[in-house]
Amino acid sequence: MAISNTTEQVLVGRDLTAANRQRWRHSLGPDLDGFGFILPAVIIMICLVVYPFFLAIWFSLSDAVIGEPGQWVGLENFMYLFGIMYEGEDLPWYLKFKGYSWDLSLADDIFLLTLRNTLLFAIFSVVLKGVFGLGAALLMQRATKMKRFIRGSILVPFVAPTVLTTLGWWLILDPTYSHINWLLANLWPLNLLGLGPFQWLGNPNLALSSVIFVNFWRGMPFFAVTIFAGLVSIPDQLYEAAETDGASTLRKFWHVTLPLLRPVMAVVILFSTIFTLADFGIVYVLTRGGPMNYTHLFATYSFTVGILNQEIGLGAAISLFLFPILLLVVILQLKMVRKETGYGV
Amino acid sequence: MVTPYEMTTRLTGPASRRSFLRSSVVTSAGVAGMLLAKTPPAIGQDRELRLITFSHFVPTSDAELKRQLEEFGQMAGVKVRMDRVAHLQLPAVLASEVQGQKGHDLTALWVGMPDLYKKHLINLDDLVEKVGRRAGGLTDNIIGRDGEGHYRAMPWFFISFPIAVRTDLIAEIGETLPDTWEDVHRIGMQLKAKGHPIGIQLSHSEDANHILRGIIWSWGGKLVEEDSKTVAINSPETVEAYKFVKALFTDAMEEEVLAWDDRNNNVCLNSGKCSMILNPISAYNSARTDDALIPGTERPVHQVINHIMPPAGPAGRHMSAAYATIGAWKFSRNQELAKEFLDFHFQKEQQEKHLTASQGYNQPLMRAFSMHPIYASNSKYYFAPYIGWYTHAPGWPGTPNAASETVWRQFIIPDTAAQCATDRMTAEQAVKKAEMQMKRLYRRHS
Repeated sequence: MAISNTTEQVLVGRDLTAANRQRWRHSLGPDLDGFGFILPAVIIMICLVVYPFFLAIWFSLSDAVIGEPGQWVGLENFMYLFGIMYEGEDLPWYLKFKGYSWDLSLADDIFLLTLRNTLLFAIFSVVLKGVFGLGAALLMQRATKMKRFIRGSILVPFVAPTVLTTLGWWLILDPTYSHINWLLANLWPLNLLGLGPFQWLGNPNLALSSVIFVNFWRGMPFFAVTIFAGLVSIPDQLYEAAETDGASTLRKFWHVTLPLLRPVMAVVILFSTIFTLADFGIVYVLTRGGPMNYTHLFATYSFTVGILNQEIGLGAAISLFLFPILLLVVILQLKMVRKETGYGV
Repeated sequence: MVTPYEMTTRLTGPASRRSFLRSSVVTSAGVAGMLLAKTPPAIGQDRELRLITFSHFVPTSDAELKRQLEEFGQMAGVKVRMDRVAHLQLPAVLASEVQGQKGHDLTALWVGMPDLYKKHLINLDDLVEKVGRRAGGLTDNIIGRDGEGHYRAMPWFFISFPIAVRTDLIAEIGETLPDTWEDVHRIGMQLKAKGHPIGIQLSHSEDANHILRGIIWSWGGKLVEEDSKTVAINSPETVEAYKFVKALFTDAMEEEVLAWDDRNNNVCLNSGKCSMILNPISAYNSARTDDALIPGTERPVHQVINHIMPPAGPAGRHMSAAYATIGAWKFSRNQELAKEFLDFHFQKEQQEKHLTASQGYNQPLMRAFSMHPIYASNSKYYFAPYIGWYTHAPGWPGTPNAASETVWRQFIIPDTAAQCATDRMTAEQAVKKAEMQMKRLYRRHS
């Protein structure tokens, strides 16, 4: 069918306009649409991650209290936590080079206790999750029956709402009517051992162990499932080659499984360390930081200081205290992940 | 069969990449505009009076408060809304509302909060004066005031801490009801040996904060001087009080009190285990409501519970109480309406209904109600009209303020008392530590 001149001109005109638009778009970059598509995600990241993060940094360097913006005080909040005092001349913060004294007895002792609690909590919890998560993954790999059921059910502690499951643990560890104590006293043969009753949430060491255990119970499935995914991706030929060379089960695990799981383990440990250090719900529900502050973590103590005590600047300093250390851990872990790991087949 | 994608395509037409981007940009711009303007669209701007309070320990009290709010809403021709949060969550909710400068119009406040939030609460001097005149004056003139003496909240009610005792257990050992802390210690020792310890929290709980202040005051100690600024906890009297707490813990209590919350002592008494607790009448009321029985018998436990005055120490009888106040935020768009509601709620008729609905739990701060007939309705409430004589707000002999509130929220007294009780520190060291921690907070908040 013939095309009329007028229609032809219109089509050519539209083509030219489209070509111009195309050229203009290319001059801005290779794929403008691509930027458009990621724009909502970038906006969300800026609003929900970048802005709060920099706001927290600003708070930590100010004397802000709830409802008031506060003034810039430099590192005063951090110095206060460690008992570092400034007794020099009244100068602007950037001119204060001398006049500092350090007296640890003036440090915020709840903060120091919180520091110790957080490190113990994170180290024990992540190590337990790593060891038992690896064990659970190896068992899942060997399961021949009800595979889907086992893989699904192991995830239940991880997917169930934290507060809900922690409330369950709160009842199990109840100071007066602990289910565990009841079992120790009434269930044969446990009652023959004469153990308990234990103050799971009242004794400082047991209380910290309890919150570590609940965190481990909740986070272990994440390790198990992720490591399991790593396990199934290891080619069988490597195990067959090792068997041909006469390797025992233990040697296969040590020389084949573990090295090839290293990148997966690094990522999962990285995520778990971050989540564990930032944990709030378990401690808040189980102990509220007690007894005698022996279970306060950075998140719960900064909440107490920043929100309940109004000192949002000091609260931000407490919560940001671990950030440089965490950043270092992240960099090291990511470096480890990026190291090339080939299967050699 | 039509797939969901086909259905969507039929209804809306195929979405091109460009139209998707355009819609995303328009929606984002709209949301951003609303956020920047800090104004919801017209559809969301109905006039509504909103109140937030803690979930009351006697739920019928909240039901009556809500009824009054709704009645007021009908009279004023506005929508109303009442929200409740757990009592331990209230400070966090209020902090977030103040930080965001938006939220409810009216709020329940604990006793140190009118000073803590003085910059954000409207001045209620005129209303307190008017209501006070109507009700024959106030029983306590410091509740609801900020550090400068202005009322930032209406004095609402107080929740007192008598000692709830198992009269049958005390009779079994041939003792009479305890009158002093030494009596409590002596009787407690005997009853612990029979499996019925005393239950006083040494933990991160409100009750622990109240009771331990009461013990310190009863020994002649004080946390601060009358100026409400000078920390005075480090005294021989406080050290003696801490030593008594240690003796009470060792001889008459069990380690579980270190982990208790505000619920556990009620459970301990009503389950038949504990012999004595210091608690508001909620333990007795819940035992009555739940018809809890003494284990191994058919006898209701509430029949053998009685309340007596807080025990006396060497320096007399003193106890702290939970003072509730109610205020209105400056960021509220309904400030006048909020004040009108407070005026309505503090009328004699409404206050009487509120007090009755709480079964006497909301002890009045208005003189006209202090001898209310509800306290004669049950012999176990006999203490109520008089306990106010011995009751002080946290911060006594000074006034409750921002600093006393933060000392409270950090559980400095329960923590240091627990460290002394569990032999982690001597009484002298524990008191010294409390002094250091308090001084830091008073320096920052005074």
